[in-house]
Amino acid sequence: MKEKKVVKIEERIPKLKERRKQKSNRRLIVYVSIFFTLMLLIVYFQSSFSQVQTVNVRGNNLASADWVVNESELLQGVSMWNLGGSELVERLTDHDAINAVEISRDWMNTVVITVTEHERIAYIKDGNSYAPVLVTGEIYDNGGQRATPFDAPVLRGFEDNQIREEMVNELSQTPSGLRQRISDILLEPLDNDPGRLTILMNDGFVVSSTVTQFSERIAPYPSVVEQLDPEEEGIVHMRMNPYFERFNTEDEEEEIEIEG
Amino acid sequence: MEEVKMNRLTKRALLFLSLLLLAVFVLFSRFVYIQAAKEVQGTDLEELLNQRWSQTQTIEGKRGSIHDRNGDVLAEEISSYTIIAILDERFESYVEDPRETAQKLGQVLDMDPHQLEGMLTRDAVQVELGPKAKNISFEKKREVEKLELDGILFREDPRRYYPKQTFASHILGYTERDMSVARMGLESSLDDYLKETNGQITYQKDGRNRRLVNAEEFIEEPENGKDVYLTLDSRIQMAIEQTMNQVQEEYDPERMMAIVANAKTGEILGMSNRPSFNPNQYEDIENYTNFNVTSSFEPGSTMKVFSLAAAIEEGVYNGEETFESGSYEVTDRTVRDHNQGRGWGEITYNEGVQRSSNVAFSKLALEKLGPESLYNYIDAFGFRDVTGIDLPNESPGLIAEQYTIDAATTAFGQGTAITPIQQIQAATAIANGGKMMTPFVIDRIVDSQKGEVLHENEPEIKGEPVSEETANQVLEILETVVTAEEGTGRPFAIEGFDVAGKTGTAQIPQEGGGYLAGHGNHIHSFIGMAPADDPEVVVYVAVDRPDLEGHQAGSEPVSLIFKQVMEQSLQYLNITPTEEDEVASVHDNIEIDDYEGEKAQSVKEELAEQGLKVTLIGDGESVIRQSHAEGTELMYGEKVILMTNDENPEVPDVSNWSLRNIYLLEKVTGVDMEVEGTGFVTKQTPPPGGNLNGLSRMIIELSLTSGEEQTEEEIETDNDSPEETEENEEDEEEFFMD
Repeated sequence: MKEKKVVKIEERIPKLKERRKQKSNRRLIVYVSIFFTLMLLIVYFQSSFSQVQTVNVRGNNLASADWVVNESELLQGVSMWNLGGSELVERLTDHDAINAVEISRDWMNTVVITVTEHERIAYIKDGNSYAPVLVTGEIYDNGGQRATPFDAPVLRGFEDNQIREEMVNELSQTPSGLRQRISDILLEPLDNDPGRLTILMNDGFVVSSTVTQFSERIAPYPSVVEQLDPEEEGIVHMRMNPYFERFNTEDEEEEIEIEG
Repeated sequence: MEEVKMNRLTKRALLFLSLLLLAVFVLFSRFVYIQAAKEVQGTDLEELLNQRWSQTQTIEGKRGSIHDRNGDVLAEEISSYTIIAILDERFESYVEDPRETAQKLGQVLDMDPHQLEGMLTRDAVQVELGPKAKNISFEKKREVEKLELDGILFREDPRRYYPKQTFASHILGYTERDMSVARMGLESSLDDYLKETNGQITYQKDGRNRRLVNAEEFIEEPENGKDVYLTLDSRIQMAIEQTMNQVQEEYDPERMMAIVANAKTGEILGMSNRPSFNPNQYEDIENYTNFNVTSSFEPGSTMKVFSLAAAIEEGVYNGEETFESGSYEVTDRTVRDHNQGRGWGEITYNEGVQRSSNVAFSKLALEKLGPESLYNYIDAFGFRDVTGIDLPNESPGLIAEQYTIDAATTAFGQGTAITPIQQIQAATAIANGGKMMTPFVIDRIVDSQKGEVLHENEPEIKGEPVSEETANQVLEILETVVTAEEGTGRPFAIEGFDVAGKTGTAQIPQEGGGYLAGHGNHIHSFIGMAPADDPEVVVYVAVDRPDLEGHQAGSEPVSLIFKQVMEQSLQYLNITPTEEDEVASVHDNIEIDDYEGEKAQSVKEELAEQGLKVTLIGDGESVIRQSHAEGTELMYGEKVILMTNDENPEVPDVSNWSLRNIYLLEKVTGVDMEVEGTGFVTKQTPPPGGNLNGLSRMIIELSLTSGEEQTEEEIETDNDSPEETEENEEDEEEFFMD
């Protein structure tokens, strides 16, 4: 043991020297690389590399992508790391049709804006074209763009804002499958029945109901229609008690005419 | 001397001491007394303490509600509001400007502003504003709140409410608005079940009226009233109420009665009277009687159903046998047929039933059956006693059996007076293979707090007055009353259903003897069962003294009610599901996938299997576009349009398509649709079959030819079509006795 402890210094010196050199080298490399990384970071943040280069808009239908991109102001030298979250969302939801906005980063310089629009619950005839009615009850002015009512029913005779809002509210509570079945909703008020509706269904049935409690009253429609012969003509009354009123067959009509 | 002084001193000290001791003893014994007796000057200390430190509040129970068979609420307890005006200036909010407040309130409450102002200027701390400001609805309360008036407050009170308004009113009856007293109908007869018991809570409080946290609480739970479920079906009842309103408007009869019952069980599905009332406005009641169970009157020819059954059961009825109609002598009196006694010559008994011949039934009663046997059947059909229906104030029948002729007149429904519910009960025997069912309206009484059924009614066989064969034979003959050329029941035929039934036109006894004369001065009635081969429903309708024009038959208002009520009852019994969860179970929604690029035919098959109707555009192999976006939920039977990769697809046939489907077609094909009109497609240009490719637009015409306006016209012509009126005149049944 004692012998081993005695090491000749001559043997150790070159090794020590080398080690010391290595150590200082390494340190230098670390310092330099930290310096360069910092430099790079500064350059990155100062240059356009850190700025948003492309904006993709998804989920828009009524709001144009250009509008969304412009309004987001993301292409005006905004840093990828500071997109301006809530303010940006607020600006975008100012749009009549937009309900919610989600922003996410995609790769280095791309931002994806996913827009959730208010559901188009119906359309309303506006001159020659149709204007979408949003779930909020507002008629969306799409600047004369041609919209076709393939994804929601058409409301007719709903000039009055209040009754339209009520109708839209009822529609929003109607099961979506059933909403897909409705083609036209005609408001045909009578003195004693101001909310009388005539509803044209895709399957060819005509339904009579009311604006008040529409969603509740129309709900049993599938099971009622199930029992009816699709060839038979008549009106399905979906009020307090659903029932089917047959139209007289044509032969009988003629008979009455002859006798009358 | 010195000693004497000392002695006196000691004595005095002793006296003082004993006085002191006495005082201490008196005080101390008072303590002990108070401790033991706990009473000071006649006040119970413990009670005082309790009063001081504890508070008792009532917990209100809820009166039970009444439901129909499907659980729809017919009567319930809701909150109502009473307006209170604070007039005292010391309050933070009080009526500062009585005039303006009165003006605004008057408009909303429909009250005289001057009167209101008078109340608002009274010298009082607070006032209530009269009956119109009491027990107002939530909606009204909101309206008043919107006025934002100072010093106008609301007190919440429970109140009885009948959400369906004039609806089975005589069955339900009513309670005072605050439910203090139950006045009529089931509300009154089931009051013991429906009534709630209030509970109370007692707790201890501190000097500032705050509740002590860890102190004992005594809670006596309130007991809510029990819920009653009726056998009534709201939809059938609604049909009765609606048609009765219609008849009331058109014919203004003195009274009307209608009962719908399940033929197999005796459950009452609907029952109503006119005049009726709205139980929410019970101040306006003009008629307190439930005629259906309380009013016994001479039924007229509907009685012949049961006489006929008796004759068949006894084996004395031969339908092919003939008799001379017209008139028939019974001792000193003459029975005449209803066409002024002219009769129809020699006819068979079957025809006699169809024509409702009084002579036929007099002969059956007196010659074939014999009075004694007839009265036995009157007993067996339960006409002498009450039916035992669970409604209050039921009347028994009054059977005429004094003279020989009484047997004859009873057989055809005159002289003897019975109630509508008795006729319904007897009719169940005919409809139910001879088994007569006790009618009932209460299905069950439930304690919803404990989830316990306290009382449940089961269908009960009252008796078997006739055999199954007899019942079926009667049904067959009654069916001919409605179907035969000469049958009096023809106006009661319902398309698509076989009805068995019997008309009745009863004369109304006049005060001082004899019967009322003149057109329409009768009780017109009909008892019908359907479907005739195995009846499910029995309906009785009676209309008393309708206002008839000269050409109108008395059966018109009756048939109006009967046909609509029977038709709808039959429909409802088949089309039952109305609740949403049941709807969902019919068919689940179908979610659309993305089919782009998939094989057109296999997609079509797959969707068709799920219940969708698929229209393929073109004969291409694979799908290139689809009408509904991925993830859309569609209902069973919806149309889906798929565009295939055909180079020259054909123009599809879109006749009878809806507008929305046309726009879906536009979306799929890219061909602009030029649409005219509203409704369903009646015309398309270009016609189907042409080449869709290169087509820039299609012209589509829509119209609603079979729309509502036309139906309304049809109904009108139906009602006063001349053909029917002529026929109806023959149905007039009259009966002359002098």
